[in-house]
Amino acid sequence: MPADLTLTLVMEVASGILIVAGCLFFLAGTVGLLRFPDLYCRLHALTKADTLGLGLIVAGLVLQNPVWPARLQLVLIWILALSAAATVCHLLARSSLAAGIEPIREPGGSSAGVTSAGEDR
Amino acid sequence: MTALGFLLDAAVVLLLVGLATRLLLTRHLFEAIVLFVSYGLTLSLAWVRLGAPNIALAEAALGAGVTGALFLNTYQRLTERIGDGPKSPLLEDDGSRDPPAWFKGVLGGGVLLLVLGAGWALLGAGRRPAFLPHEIAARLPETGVQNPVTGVLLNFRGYDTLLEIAVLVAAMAGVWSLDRGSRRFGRARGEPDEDPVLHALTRFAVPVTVVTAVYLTWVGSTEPGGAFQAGSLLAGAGVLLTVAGVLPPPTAASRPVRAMVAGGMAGFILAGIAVLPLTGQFLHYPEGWAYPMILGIEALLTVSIAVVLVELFVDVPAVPEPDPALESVDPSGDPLGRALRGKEGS
Amino acid sequence: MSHLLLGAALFLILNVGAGLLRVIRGPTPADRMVAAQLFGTSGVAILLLLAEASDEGSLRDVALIFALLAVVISVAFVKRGWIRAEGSSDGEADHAG
Repeated sequence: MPADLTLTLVMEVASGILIVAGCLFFLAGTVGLLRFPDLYCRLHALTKADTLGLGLIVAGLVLQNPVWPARLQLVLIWILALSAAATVCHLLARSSLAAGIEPIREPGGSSAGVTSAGEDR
Repeated sequence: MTALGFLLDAAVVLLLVGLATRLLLTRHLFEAIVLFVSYGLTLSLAWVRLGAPNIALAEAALGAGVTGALFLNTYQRLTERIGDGPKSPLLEDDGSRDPPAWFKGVLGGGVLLLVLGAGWALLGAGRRPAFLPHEIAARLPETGVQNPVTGVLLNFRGYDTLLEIAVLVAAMAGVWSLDRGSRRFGRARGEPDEDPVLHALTRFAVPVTVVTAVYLTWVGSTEPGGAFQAGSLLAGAGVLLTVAGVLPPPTAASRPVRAMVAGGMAGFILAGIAVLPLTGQFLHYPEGWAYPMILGIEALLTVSIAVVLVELFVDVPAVPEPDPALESVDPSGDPLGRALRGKEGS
Repeated sequence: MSHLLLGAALFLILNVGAGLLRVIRGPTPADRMVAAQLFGTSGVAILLLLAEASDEGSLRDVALIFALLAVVISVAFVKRGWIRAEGSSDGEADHAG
């Protein structure tokens, strides 16, 4: 098998693995969003896992796409999403605390700590 | 491949219908807003699957992004004045405003008939309209641009787009005329938000947004993009800046703001008139001039659209105080109607 | 390869659909907003996958718009989505009309 063909094959396989791994992180984020007991845990689960998932998918796509400007655009979109997710997570958590939503303090506690100020209508 | 594509389309359609149904049935105001934004994003994906990236861009930027921000604004205004605490009837499901079942049945049946009729008229009536894409593609070189959507919007159907921007300017004039006594959101300049993280985010996201908006206007002549998409993106940057307190909210009284709001429509009309002596027809661009003229009009339109949308966001007419006299007469009535009546009375 | 890309996009759409249950359940506005955030990030990923699968570069621009507007919506929510408590000065405005 010629060397460059082998390289292409390796790249394809690596790209596939990265994309599948990315999807699994998205799944983990959603499971966290649905199963975790309070807002702060959910925020934590979602913003971290999804951003990592997106990063893995972008890495997989960069391996597949031979065009350099497209690769650059992919990476830039990821950097944007990364910094946006981190800051938005902070802002959401901060404003929720200010609005009176209490985080749960003990394992096994329910999210009954939500005060009436935090409930929406 | 095709089976997978079909499953993908089916998933998008199911999500759309599910979101729309829940959106219409829920009585949670805030849930409805988030569902609306999600619906806009799903619709954008649907447009992508239909091969219409132009509309996908517009739907994501305008339908989901800017409209979502406007709804959040409205939500806060509604809850802060009309709602007297958590028991506000507008925001809580008390079941009292449910229309009778026969009314729902008639309404649902009518809508169903309308949808089926429209579907029949489009697909089943046997009348096949001329296949426009071919004709547009054949005459695209005359428009001066390579993106068929931009060519149609700004050359073949220039009147249409002119009227669209006129609608926006008229809406702006309407909001301004209601402006008396309204409270303006945002802070005065020099009183930035105390949160450094919000500031860092703004400093980072705004330049990227502006560059992307310029890129979209520019690329609109050859690829998906254009004034409406770029304008709403630019409005997003404006919303960020005013919310973070970096920029003072634009005011109707300021001349530059008025000039920017009117600029798009004025430039469009002036360009249309300027070509009259050359071609003898309103908005009929002379040969060789179509591309620069379209680009110039697009740039002016982008700025106008952005300023109008930011203004609509920051400048919300005040909800009048409920009149206590009316309230005692009508204790269970709808608060919105009460507020409106209070407005007439004052 | 495009099988994998489309399959991943399908998976992510289903994933979003499941995550949207959180929008319905709440209970706080922030919880609903976090679910919208999920849609933003997943939407970017879906669009990038579709861009590669269909070789349509402009879909990357749509993905970029998704990412940027997720920021705008979230910040608008943080500053506008809460019902202000009495006397709170957060986001307070001047009264000049």
